[in-house]
Amino acid sequence: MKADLRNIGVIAQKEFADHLYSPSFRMLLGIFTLIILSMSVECGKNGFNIFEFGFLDIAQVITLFLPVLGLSLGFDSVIREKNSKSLNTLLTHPVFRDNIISGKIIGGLGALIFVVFISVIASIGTLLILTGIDVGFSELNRILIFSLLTFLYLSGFFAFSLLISVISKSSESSFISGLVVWINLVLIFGAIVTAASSIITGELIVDLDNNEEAMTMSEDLQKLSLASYYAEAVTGVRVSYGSFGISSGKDTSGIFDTRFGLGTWFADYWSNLVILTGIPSLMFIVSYVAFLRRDI
Amino acid sequence: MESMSIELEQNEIVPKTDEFAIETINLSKVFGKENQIRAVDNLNLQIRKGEVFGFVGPNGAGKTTTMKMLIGLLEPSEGSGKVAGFDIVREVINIRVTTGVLPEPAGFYDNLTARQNLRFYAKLYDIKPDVREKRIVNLLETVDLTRAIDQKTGGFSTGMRKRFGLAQALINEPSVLFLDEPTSGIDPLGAQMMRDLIKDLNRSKGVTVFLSSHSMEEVEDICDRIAIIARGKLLAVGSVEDLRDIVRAKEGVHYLLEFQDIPISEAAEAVNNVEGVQALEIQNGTLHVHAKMKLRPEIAKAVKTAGGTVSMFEEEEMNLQKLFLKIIEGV
Repeated sequence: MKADLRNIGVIAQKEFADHLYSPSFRMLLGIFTLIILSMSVECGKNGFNIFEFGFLDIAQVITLFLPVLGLSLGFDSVIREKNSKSLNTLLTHPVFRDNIISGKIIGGLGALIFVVFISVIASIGTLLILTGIDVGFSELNRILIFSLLTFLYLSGFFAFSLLISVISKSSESSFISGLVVWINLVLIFGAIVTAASSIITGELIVDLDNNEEAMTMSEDLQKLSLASYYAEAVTGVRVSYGSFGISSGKDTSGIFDTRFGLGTWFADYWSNLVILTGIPSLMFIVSYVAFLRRDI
Repeated sequence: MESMSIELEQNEIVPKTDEFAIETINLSKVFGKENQIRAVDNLNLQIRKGEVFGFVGPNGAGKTTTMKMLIGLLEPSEGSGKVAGFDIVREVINIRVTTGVLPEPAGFYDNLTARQNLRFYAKLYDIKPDVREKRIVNLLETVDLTRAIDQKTGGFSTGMRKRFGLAQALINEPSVLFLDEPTSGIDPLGAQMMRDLIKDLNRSKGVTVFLSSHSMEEVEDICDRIAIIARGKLLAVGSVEDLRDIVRAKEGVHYLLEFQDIPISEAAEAVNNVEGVQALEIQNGTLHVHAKMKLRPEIAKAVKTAGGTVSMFEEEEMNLQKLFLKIIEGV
């Protein structure tokens, strides 16, 4: 057991370092950090107080684009090693398959913590510095919960890409699968849902006087994407590009709504938290089992 | 089997003091939904400590499957085996700690340097940092890669990769070394260098080597004993001379003779009367004799009785390549 844990640690350490030194990961992190930073600076200059006005614009950027980083961490994590035969060599040393997949999961999650840390610094940190808002214990807790939500959300994409990497035959097909899922379930999901709701119900969603059924259906369909649960828990609105922001209809408007206590937020959004935790966990378990059963 | 863990400090594991470094008893592996493919069939091997053992066979003979079972990458369907005294099913982690493997093909982390790769493998054995760093330098020197120590392995040539593969297999100072096609794809000079390295390791450190190869020249050059396997079955095992005896018993012996003081036709007649001689042919002044068994003294005596002397008496040389082809013939 001790040897197993140590070897998981050795593999996780290597995976973490590999991610951080990967040029593509650095480039993506750099681009997204700059986007978040520039938006935060703009909001900060206008004296935007996230604890009063919420966090809609920046949260939308995080919701839409940061999943790419989650996907980039896992899409070739297993398949690259399998095809390069380094997995073949690794397995001749005193490690077992479960050590390897556990190490990869832990190393990837470590890199995600780094991504979340950078994102929070670039967004909330910048805003707080520019606006000079005092941060008390309650605000700090909200920032930590926001960080946790972002971590869980990105973990879902990392877990998905890891699973695809385990079952794919090439890095290219794994990359394309990840891209297709990101585009359809995040980037244009709102537009797809809006169009689907209008077609199925026969109501035009833009016809505000006669769109009740279409809106209800759109609301139900939004639940198919992890992005909706994250956006809702953070901002109180299910946001996705190309759709109408659908209010959750709950008391609190996301994690930064200081009109209510954290208990109220938790009562409103506990199910979001369960889904944001459950989906990645489930996909990690499936990846784990699939990896143990695959022929190497 | 894969998830088996044993509560042992890896660097405290030492090989058990069994007589054999590798031993298998009726080891078998079947594949397929209805177990229709018998990749390894009742394999019995006993490889002594310090021996260089060659394992040869045509493609699909079961060599890699056997090797995978011996290092715990595949669970046997039937039978049992021990490597360095450890059971190949129940004590896999101990086997991995006491053995080194150069798989074919061998892949490395090509984004890392030779030093970083070896450091990573060394950490898996919990080798102390100061020992680790010294060992990395020594190993790379042994395999003549000192100059490439801080180069990424992605830029290595095939020969360099093979030598680096040997270095990674030696990172834990193994007592048993499994080498799968150690010289495939490399030039003759590189191949000779690998062979010399293997011989040196065996002689200087007493490492038992289990070598699987398609190169008969290589196996003949460095192996003390050889096993020939085809369709999962062990056909023959022994030294090259033992294998020659096996082939002689099966195929007979082929002699080449030249004579003095007697016309070749008369000598041929005398030889033909020796019991056990099966066929004769005169080619360019040389008599080719095919006998059922070794008949050197009997033939010499028959020629002498006929009034001649044998000026050249050679047995047709059968190298491992020929022996291998004879042994697997018809399997």
